[in-house]
Amino acid sequence: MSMIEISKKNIRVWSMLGMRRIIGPAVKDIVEQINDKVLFATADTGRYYAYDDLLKTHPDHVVDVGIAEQNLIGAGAGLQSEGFNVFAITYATFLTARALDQIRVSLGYMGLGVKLLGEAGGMCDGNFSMTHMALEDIANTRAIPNMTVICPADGMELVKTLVALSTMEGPAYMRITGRFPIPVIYKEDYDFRIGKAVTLREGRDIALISNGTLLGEVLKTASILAEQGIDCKVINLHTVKPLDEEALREIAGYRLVVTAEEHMLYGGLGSAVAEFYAQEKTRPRMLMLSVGTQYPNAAEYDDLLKNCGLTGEQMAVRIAEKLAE
Amino acid sequence: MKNREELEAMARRIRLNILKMTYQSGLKGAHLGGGMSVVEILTVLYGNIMKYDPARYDMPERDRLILSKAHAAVALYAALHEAGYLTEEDIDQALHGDSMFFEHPKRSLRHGIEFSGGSLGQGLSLGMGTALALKKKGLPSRVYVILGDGECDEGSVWEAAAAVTHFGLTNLTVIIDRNGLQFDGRKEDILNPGDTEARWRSLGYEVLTADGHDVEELQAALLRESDRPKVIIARTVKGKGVHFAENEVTWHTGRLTDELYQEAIRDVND
Repeated sequence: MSMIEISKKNIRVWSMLGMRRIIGPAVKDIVEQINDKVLFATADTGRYYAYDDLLKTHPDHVVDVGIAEQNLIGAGAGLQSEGFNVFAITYATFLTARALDQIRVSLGYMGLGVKLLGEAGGMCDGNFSMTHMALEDIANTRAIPNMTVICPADGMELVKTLVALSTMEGPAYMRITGRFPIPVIYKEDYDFRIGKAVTLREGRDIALISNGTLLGEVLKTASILAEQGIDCKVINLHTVKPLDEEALREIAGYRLVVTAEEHMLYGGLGSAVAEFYAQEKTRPRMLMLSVGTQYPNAAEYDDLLKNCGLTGEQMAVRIAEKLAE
Repeated sequence: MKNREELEAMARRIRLNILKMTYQSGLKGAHLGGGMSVVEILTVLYGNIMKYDPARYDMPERDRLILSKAHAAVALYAALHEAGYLTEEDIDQALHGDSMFFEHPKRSLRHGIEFSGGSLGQGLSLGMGTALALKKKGLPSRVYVILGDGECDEGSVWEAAAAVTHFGLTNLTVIIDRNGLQFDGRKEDILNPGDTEARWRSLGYEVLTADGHDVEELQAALLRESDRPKVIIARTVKGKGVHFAENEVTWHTGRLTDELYQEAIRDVND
């Protein structure tokens, strides 16, 4: 069975596995079917991504540098400069915060095309406390020149992103979110292009923009609001950089544009959208739903979403309140 | 192979060009101290050790040099001029105006610069990844990484140092320009590194020491065969060759007045 094949069966399998455990087998298929220059480089977290089979069948395609994220990026950049395509994977926050200077110099400045795969983006490992939550990763990577920033919504989009990254030249950051089972956002195949937002639901009153597995909650929000007679468009802005400006211009006349993200208020998806509108002639009113401005206390993921007001129901209430203002 | 006399003449020309670039950098000044300490190391590498060809600058079989202590760019530019990568005009324009050869080198294979530098502690990781890639590709090339002793304060150096031996990268050589001074003072006073030789040896390196201003000693160390990754600890003098800058912490960076420039040239030519 190929992990990168789009099929009804795989849609179920991906959802049950969760993002993490898709990655090892998917990289193995990519190495065998798409690009044998792809290397799986990790900082002692390979087992999280079910890399055992990849390690057994293609040991030359695995580079584990130990708990040393700075070296992961530096060594990855060295390998990349010699023609390999390095997928550097570990916890998103250790990857993009601890090794940020290496990312600046090797990826941003030199333009070496290492692909950063940051897992536990947002709060899905929140029971480990804020040390394992990546809550500034979008802000950090988005600010780096040459960097593409993507946050896939579900298993299928994760696979499509990995496939796209496997032949892409420049540097990129892929943020991995959610716990398993992950919501199935795409029940059938669709056209995925880096930088091109996807409309998940049509609507004319307000637009909800989000990405990652949080879209499962956002779609619930849209259904709740629809029952109240509020027609919501839902946009999967999987690529935060480069921004799909066309998609944002199309909704500039809506009553309200809502952004929802598992990220600090500053610098993430909401900021990216607001920055765009700030310089536009027509700007919508915005509501930016996020984790806020303080680190949440450790808790289970579902509770953390509640504590941050990011469940489907809570977001519907907050949006209705905003509309009533 | 160049003989001692030829190498020493090459080192002298490099020093004169370092002075020239420092002088023309004007009020900003340049990293004269660490530039002068690394001169013989670069001289021997480009003069007799490394395989390279400016006409085929991206040839896969070339040896790779990474100046991790990238603030010594003036020395690298002067050495790359000797090697045929940089023209006289490049040297004349370096470090001022809109020259692409500024205080820290920017990646340009055409000019023999493998990686950009400026943020310390990253060169050995780049070298480790490069050496691993060369092994994977079955290429015989070697990677030479030049570290400053002050730079070895950085924890990232040690992440990479362990990985080099762990991955058995015998195609990599580390050269430490041990001039004993860092920005705020003497190495031992700012952050005592302990027993540097023992530290590297404990990780599995073949550790050699050499007088970093003796071209023959350096060459012998670089040519020494080893079945392990090698570290050459080169004992050097910061500001070497210019009496007012030698072992002077304030000459980490500095600017040369007309008078000091003439004085420095006389020193180097003596």
